[in-house]
Parts: sequence; structure tokens; C-alpha cells
Amino acid sequence: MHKEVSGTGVNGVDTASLSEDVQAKLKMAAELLKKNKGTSLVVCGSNRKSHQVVVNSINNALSNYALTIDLNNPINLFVSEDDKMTRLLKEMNEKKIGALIMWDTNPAYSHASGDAFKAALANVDLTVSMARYADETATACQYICPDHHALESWYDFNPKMNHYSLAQPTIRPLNDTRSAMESLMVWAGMANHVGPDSTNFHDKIKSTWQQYGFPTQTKHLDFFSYWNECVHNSCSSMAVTPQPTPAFAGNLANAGKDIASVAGGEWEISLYQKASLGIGTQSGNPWLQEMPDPISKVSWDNYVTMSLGDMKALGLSTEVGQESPSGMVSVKVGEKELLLPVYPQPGQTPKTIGIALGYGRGEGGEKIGRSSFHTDFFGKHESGSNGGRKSIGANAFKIAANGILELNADSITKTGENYYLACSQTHSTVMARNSIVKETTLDIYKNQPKEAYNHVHMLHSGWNHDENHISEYNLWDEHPVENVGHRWAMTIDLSSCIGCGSCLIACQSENNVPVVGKDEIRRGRDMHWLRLDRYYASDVEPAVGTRDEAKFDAGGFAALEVPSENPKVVHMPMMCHHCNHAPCETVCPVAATTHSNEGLNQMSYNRCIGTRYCANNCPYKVRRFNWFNYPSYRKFVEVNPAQDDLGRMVLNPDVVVRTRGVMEKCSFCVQKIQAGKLVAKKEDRKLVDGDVTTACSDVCPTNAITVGDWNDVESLVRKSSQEDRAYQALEEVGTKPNIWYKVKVRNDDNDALEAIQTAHDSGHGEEHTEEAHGEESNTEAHH
Amino acid sequence: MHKESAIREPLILGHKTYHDITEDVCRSIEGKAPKAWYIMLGIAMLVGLYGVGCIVYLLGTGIGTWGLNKTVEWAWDITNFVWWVGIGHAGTLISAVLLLFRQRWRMAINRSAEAMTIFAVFMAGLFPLIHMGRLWVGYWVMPIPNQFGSLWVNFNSPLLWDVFAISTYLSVSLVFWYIGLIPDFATIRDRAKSPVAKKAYSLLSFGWSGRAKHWNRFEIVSLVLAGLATPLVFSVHSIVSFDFATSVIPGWHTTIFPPYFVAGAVFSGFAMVQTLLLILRKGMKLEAYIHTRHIEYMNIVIMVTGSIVGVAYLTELFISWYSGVEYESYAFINRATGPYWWAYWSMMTCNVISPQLMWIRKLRRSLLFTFFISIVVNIGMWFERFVIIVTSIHRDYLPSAWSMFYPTWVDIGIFIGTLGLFFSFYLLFARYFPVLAISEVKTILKISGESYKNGTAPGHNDHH
Repeated sequence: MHKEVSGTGVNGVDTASLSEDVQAKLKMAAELLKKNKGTSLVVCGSNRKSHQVVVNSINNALSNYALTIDLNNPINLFVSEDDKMTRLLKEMNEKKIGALIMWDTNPAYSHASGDAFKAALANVDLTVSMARYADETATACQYICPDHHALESWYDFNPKMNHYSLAQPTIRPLNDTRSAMESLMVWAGMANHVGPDSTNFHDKIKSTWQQYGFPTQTKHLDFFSYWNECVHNSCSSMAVTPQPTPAFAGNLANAGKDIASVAGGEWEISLYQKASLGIGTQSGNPWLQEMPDPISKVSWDNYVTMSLGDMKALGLSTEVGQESPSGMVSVKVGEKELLLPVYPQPGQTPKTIGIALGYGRGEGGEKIGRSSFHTDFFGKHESGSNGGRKSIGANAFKIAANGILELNADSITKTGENYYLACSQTHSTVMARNSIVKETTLDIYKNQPKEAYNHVHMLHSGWNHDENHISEYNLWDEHPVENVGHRWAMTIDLSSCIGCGSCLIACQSENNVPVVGKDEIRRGRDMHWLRLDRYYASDVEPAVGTRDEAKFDAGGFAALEVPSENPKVVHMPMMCHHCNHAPCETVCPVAATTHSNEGLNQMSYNRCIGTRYCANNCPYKVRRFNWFNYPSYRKFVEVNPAQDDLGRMVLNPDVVVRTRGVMEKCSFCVQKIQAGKLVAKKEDRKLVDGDVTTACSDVCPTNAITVGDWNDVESLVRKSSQEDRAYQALEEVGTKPNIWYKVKVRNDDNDALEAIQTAHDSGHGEEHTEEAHGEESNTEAHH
Repeated sequence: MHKESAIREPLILGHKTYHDITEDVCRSIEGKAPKAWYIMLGIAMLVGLYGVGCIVYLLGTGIGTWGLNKTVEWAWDITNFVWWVGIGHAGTLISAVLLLFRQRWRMAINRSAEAMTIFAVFMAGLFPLIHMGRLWVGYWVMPIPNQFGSLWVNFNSPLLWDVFAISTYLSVSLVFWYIGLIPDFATIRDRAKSPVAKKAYSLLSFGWSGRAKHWNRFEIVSLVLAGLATPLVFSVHSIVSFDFATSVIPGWHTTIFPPYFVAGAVFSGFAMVQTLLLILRKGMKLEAYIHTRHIEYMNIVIMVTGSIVGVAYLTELFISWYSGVEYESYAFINRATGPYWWAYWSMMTCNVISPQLMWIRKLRRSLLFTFFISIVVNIGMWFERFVIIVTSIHRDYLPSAWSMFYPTWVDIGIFIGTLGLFFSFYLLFARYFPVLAISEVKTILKISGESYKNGTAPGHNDHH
């Protein structure tokens, strides 16, 4: 890329060995980048310095330094100083360190030389850990001075340059802990410890903000009004002092030398952080352990991701299913070995593997939370090789020498053992069903009418073959939800959704959704009210959900089931659609699920007798049955927070905890709707857009989810649902949901998709003519 | 008296007198039971007890002890329910419909077929009860006044219709069966020697005295009940099929279901009657009353209903293709070629191909072959329900939710348990109840008895 963009290659980097295909793609990318000089950006996927230098050089050659890259706005998260850490370890071994106080760090686990660090702690006279749990590092220290939980203490942060934020406690400390900062103040002689109600650190933060923050603003004349506003907003921004545009100062020659020095192994390993567990700090959090990975949909586990071809070559089973065990492999890097099951990952480059960080916590039996450990069929902790509890997964930090996350494996060998992975979704593709996920390209979206990429379903009726939209045909009487009172609705933008799963966790915490553990997830009984469906495109689909008829004729349904080698991926949040013609409502024998006059599909848990007919009849399969008594049955002791006094504090008092034998599902956060209505009522005004939100819409980092009153013509959700991209999933079933999705638009060249979608100009919406259109499109594609 | 054509095969073989009939039927009640009976009852009760244990575990722990999941929320429970209801169809069909059509051959089999019906419906009724997540509030399906104000059942729900259909069917069948038993109980009462038996059978016989007035009322009630029961034969399974037909799930949402389910039910019911009777006639030495001709008649019913079922399967396939609905056509392609292809092809082989062999006269008159096919048919019919229920929902609209169903030992235990309970009930019935309708068989003795037809009966000519 560097050679293509700047004209000069990097010494030591061998480009000749790249395959023709890769070279062609590089050339194409470079051409596009050059066309967009100054408005483009190349990002480095590696944390190896030499790689980053080369990428910076590319950006420099593209004139991105001055134009695209904004150095006035750096993020301070994930800043690390590996060299200082290395020096510390060296000095500890040389007995040069007298005292070591550690806060919010766990090097014994998360450093490649964790074991060496642990051993070196013996050379330090005083070792203090201020961790919240007796983690790997804390247990090796002489003293543990547990810090408050984040919800128990004041803090201030500087996550981005010129942006400051405040955290305030929401609860009086539950246990005998002390804020780490207060400890430092007490030890430094700056304050006296006064017990759980101490305000020392609070006063310190306040005085800091008075000294540094208050003078930078002019809005508030007195500090207290400034402080109150900052606490209320939890954040404050300061004026940006423009930084000078930096010049590229990297040493390309050295970088090339470093890249050349990397000894290649047969396998390349990429260590990554899962969206849920990160580096494993919260591995004791069962919500995060149970959250399925956005791509693989595996929960409660760590595994090697590998391409299907490589798996077959190694003789590993590529089946993913409830009763299909995965094969274990031994990954060897130098002296270190990781034993992990293998998951078949479409899109994984052959001869590369991925392993997630953040697993293998508590291998020494540390008390870091019960959900860091494997549970068996009966819900008891499995015992590991050391006789203690068996950690989930293996610690991949062990192999990340120098903190570099791209490395080579010496060998990967099959051990012959079998292992069950728990997947919440076992089918890979959407089978080219075109009314679930819709995709198009930016070109089509900009230049073609709506019908090209977002067709609607029409039905013919009567002798004259009148053609009407499917919603015109009703078997039942209409629920009077339109234009009367409120009608709660939601739109979900598939273009914005990144599949991170924040909505899933927010929903779980808001609605007291039980955690069920690995064995139950494997059996397909996850309780998540909101799940994230992940679909890969198959070879038959130029885009997820669009069928190439010629290829389908050749491959049939079997070909539709297999994801492409390097597939396109779509994430689709899926929850109760609150259908205005809900199939679940008609079949319940005791009317436990009914429709509210605000368009909500309501579940009366008390009335439910648990026939599960509603769940069977739900086309979206979003209803969740309480198979056991999750808050008390012994199988869930180690995983479900509702089973002990401390864990029960996460339960939302506004939402009931469901008993066994009843059905549950997304309620559209009805408690939040009610609260929103009350706010408006107390203020004696009409409800306005924004008064009512759901947990999922609140947390979505990309604002993909919009919630509101559809009957309010000015509301965001109303406008959003009337955009050209808006559609309803499974519209032709006639359920009339209150959820709209918005077509995913990709900015890519997709001739095959364009040929199909632009061939649909006329007569669209007639299901039976699609086959003919498909054929046309294929001939056009060849022109 | 009605004269039967000489070329019709006699329904009672050899020479029997009225007294012989009473003796033949009462022998097992009055005599000692053979060892085989004790062994069979022991095994059946043990298996039944195991099933009861599984049910207790299920009710104590939760539906999660079954292999169901978020996609397949009905599997063996409703499969077993529909299977048992189907089996429970033959009895009423034989006693009501064949009565109205004046089929005399029914007299030899109706009693035991009705008993089978009752026990099968017991077993069937068990599943909708235990499949509920909260059985203890299951009575809410009854439209009873309650303290919740206007809270009422949902009359739109086919599951509610089921409650009425099954309970009506069970009560009418039970009454019908019992009414028929009364004169026979009286016969046993009159012959009983032990005071306990005498007391018990006189209670059971409701003071039957055999007066003409009693017989007159008996005939009228039987006819009225037959009239009442006849529509029920068609309504029960039609309504059971509505559970699926009214849903939106591809593979369930099929308007052909009511007739197809009724035919399938008669098909499986007759197969079960065959299985039981072939053992019963041997064990209780009733070969003279239930013989090849009876078996052949029933095989013809099996052949006809099996063919109807076969046509229904093919119609389903055709419609799924003809409809042009993507989900619908996939549902059927998936049945035949998806992960549950083996269940589909088991069903096809057992239900469509095997009854066609009954066109061959030699085979349909072979008792051994009949016994074999009767079991094959019921395996096939179990698979039919499994295929309809599980293979439809395991892959419905959203592929993200697609899954498989794997039964647990509790699923299996409860199913086997109901077989155990069913056979326990049936064995007890065979021991203590008259397995042939004594009074009814006597009415055809002189018309269809072999010795009377060919004139070899002593004093036969005197009667005519």
C-alpha cells in the first residue's frame, strides 16, 4: 500500500510474494485513496510500532495529516506505557523498588510476563493492591486495600483531551472498603480517614475543579452553580486549544527493518478483545460472560477462530450446533501453550487464527467472581486441572510478548479432545430471505427509486385483481392504535448497528433478564429479550438477503446454508415487534398476552399458564420461557445474580422477577414509558419526543435505535419510519409490527447486487414475478 | 329375524351357544389369571411408575427438564398428545359410526376398542396438562367466574377449543362405553360367587334386571349416544388440528389439516386396535369371535385411511410449491431434505407405503403381517406428528432462531411411561371387565354364527 500510494516501497517489506489477487486489491484501494487525498484515512489494525509508522507514512503521503486527522481531539483510553512496565519489572528484580502500590491494574494476569511479575513482587519490601477483588495480582501482594465499587465513590476522569467527566456515588459503601484515592491522601498525610461517609476525596475533586475548571469558563459567576451543573451533566468540556499540525517524523527505514525481522511461523495469531469482556477485568460479571459474541454468537467461552479450510486440514469438526462438539487444539508459541476449542469462522484468512483476550481468569483459584469459572450440567463449578475451579478459556496475554497482539504460532495441533461450545445462534445465513434483512449499495440508494432496494408486498384480490398493500388485508378487527393516544414505535437502522451488544446488556439490566449459564445457552434457551442476529452472506447472495437466481438454481438451498469464505455480515437487533396483529395474542388460551391501546403487546405474567403456544406462533421467535425457576433453582446458583443478596442489588425494582413456567419478552420498557408519561404529567404538559426512551435506545452508541410516539407526527420515530429505507421485517406475514428496520446501505462496489436491484424497476412487489426478474438481472450482469 | 347371505363369511366360527358366549367371556374374569398376565402387568406398571416419576420430576423442577428450547417449544409433549388422541379415535368410530352403519362385525371389537379409546384419551389428556409451565393454575383455561373481574378465557385460542373438545370427547366416550357395559356387568354379577365380586359388580351394573323396559331404554340410549358421538369423531381431531392450522407457522398453517388429521387418527386408532386384539384374542382364546375376517375388515379401513393420509401428504407438498410462498415451500423441502429427513421418510414409509400392501388379500388376512404393520403404522403416525410439529418450528421464518430438538431422558421417560400406564389399564380391563360385548354378540349369533349359517348347529332348523 505504501508503495502504491507514495511511490516508494518500505525497505525490508517483501511485496513480491503477495498473490496477484491481493496485489490487485491493494492497487484498487490505493487508487481510491489517491482519488480522495485529504479526505481519506488509513487505520492500523496492529499495535506493533513499525506497522503504525508505515501507516502514518501512508497517511502523510495522502495529505491526511493536515486535513483528516484531528489531533485536537485525542482519546486517552487504552494509553499504555509498555517500556515503563518493562523497566519496572527489571528494577523489581534488581531489588530497586521499595514499595509498590497498585490500583486498577492486574499485571499478574494481563501482562505477558505475568508470572515473572508475580515472582518479582517478592523482591519488593511493601506491596499493596487497591483492587476491588482478590485478583491475580492482589493475592500476590502483602496488603489488599479494597477500593470502593465505581457506584460507591466519587471520581473524575479525562477520557478525551479537554473533556472531563465526573462520577458520583449512587449508593453508600456496602462493605468495609475505602476509596483508593482517599487511601493515597491518608497515606500522604493530606487527610484523616473518617469511615464510610468520608468526603475527603469528594472535597479534593471539588477543589481541583474549582482551581482548574472554574476559571476556564464564563457562564457561571459562582463556583457552586458551576459545580452543580457539572455534577448534573456528569461532564464538562473546555475550550480547545488548537494544536499545531504535526509533521510525519517516523523512521521508515527502522520500521522496515523491524517488520523484516519478524520471524514468520506457519500460523499467524491475532489477539483481540471481545465486545463483551474486553481484557477480562469484569470476567466475574455473568451478563458479560453470557453475552454472545457479536460475530461468532458463542457465549461463556474462549476459542480459536479458524477458517473452515484450515479446520478441515487439521481434521476438526466444522459443525456448529447444540450437540456438535468442537475439537480442541494446542496453540504453541515458544514455551507457552494454550489449549482451546476451535470455532469455524467464515471470513478468517487461511493460516491465521484469532484468540480473545480476557479469559482464563482465576487460574490460581483467585476469588474474582463466580462466573469466571465453568459450571457443569448441574450448575456446579467444574474442577480444573489444579483441583480448584476451572477457569473459562485460556489466558492469551501469556503469549503476547512485549504486549504485541499480532504474533506467530510455532504450531497448532489437534489434541483429539472434544469440547462443547455454547452458541446462541447456530445457523449462519439468512437463506436469501428478502424481507428480513435488506441491503443495498450507496449508488443504488442515491440513484434509484425506493422500489429498487426496499420493495413492499402487495396482494391481489377480487375479480379485478386489485392490487393493495398487504396491510390492507385483515383477518381480525384492527386494534385502534393509529392516531388515537400514543402508539409506541421503534426504528432500527441496520446501517448504523455495529452489533456491539450494548443494547442487549442494557435490556438485561433494565428488565431483570435472568442469566442461565453455558449449558442452557447451548441448549438454545438464552433468555435475552433483545438478541442480535448475525447473518453472513452465502455465495448465492451478492448481499445478505438477496438471491442470485442463477447461482441458486445451481446450488439450491444447500448452497444458501453455507456462508461465503469471506462473507458480508449484517447485525440485526431482534426483539418483540409489538405487532398490532400479534399471532401470539390470538392463541393464548387465557388471554395472558394482550394488546394495549398504545400499541404494546403486553405480557401478564400472573395470568400466564405456560402453554408456550404464543412462542411457537411468534414469527420473530422473541418470546422467552422460564424453563426453570432461575432465581432459586440450584442449577443457576453460580451464574444468576438474582440468587444471592449482593447480586439481587442489580435487579430493577420497577420490574418484576419472573417465576418458572411463565413466558416473558421485551415489554418496550413499559416501566420507562410509564415513568416518561408521569414526568410529563407532573409538569402538566403534553408528552414530547424524548420523554420516553427504552434501555436499548438509551445506550446505543451509534443511535441506531429510535423510540417514540408514532402518533406524534413530529416525532423522530414517525419521520424515521417513513423514510425510504424503512421497512418492516416479515411484512408479508401481516403482523403489522411497531418496529421498522432501515435498509443497510454499504458504500461498496457490488455489481451483482446492482444488477439484481436495478432490474426490479417495474412491477415490483409481486412475489411471483421475482424469479423472472432474477433471470433478467443475471443476463444484465454479464453486459 | 334378519337373514344373512350364505356367501358372507360367518362372524362367529364353529358352534357356539348363548351360554358358550357368556362362558368364553367370563372365563377370564372368574378364573385365575395366567402367569403371563401378571408378568405383563408387572412390566407395564413398572414402566408406568417410571413415567409417573418422570412427571413428578418435571412438575417439581420445570419444563426445562425436557429438551425444548426457545425455537422448538413443543416437541414430544404435543406429539404424544396428538398421537394418543389419534389412537383414541378408533373406539368411538367403531362403536358409533359402525353402529349407525349397522356393521355387525363391530360387535366383537367395539368393547375393547372403546376401552382402548378411553385409556388413550387419558394418556392424551395428560400431556396438555403436564406441558403447562404452571399446572397449578391450569384451571384458568376453564371459563369459570373469578375474582379478577372481567378476566375471561380467550375464545379465539384453538388451545381453548381443545380443552372443550377433548373433555367432551372423553366424557361422551366414557358414558357410551359404560352404558354398553351395564348388561354385561349384570351377567357377571349374577354369576359371581365371591361376595366381594358380587357386591362390586352389582354396584357397577346399576341394578340392571334385564327387564324389557331396561333393554328398551338401553337400545334408545345407545342410539342417542351413537348419534352424539359420531360428530365428535370428526370434531376432536379437527379441533386438535386447528392448533396448527390456525397458526402462522409454515408447515402448521395448512387448511387441509382437519380431514387429514381425522383420517390419520382413524388410521392409527385401527392399527392400535389390531395390535391389542391380536394379543387379546390369543391370550383369552377368543379366536372364534375375533378372526381373520374381522382383522381383514380393519385392515381395509387402515388401507383406505392410510391412502387418504398419503394423498394429504402429497397435496401438502403440491400446495407448498403451488402457493409460491417462500417460507411454505422451504418448510416442506426442509422436511424431506433437511436435518430431520429421517423422520419424514420414516413417516412416509410407515404411513404411505406400508398400508398399500394391504391391497394384497393374502397379506391383509395374515395375522402375523397385520400385527407387524399395525406397529409400523403407529410408529409412522408418531413420526407424522413429530414431523408436523418439530420440523415446522425448528426452521421457521428467521434463520437466526433455527435450532434442533434433542429429547432428554425425561421426554423419553414420560412417553414410555404413558405406554406403560396405557397397557396397565388395558390389562386390568382385560382381566376384570367383559372384553366382548356379551349381550351384543349374542344378537348376531344366530345370524352370523358359522354353525347356524351352514346348518350344522344342533336343533338349528327348529328355530327357523
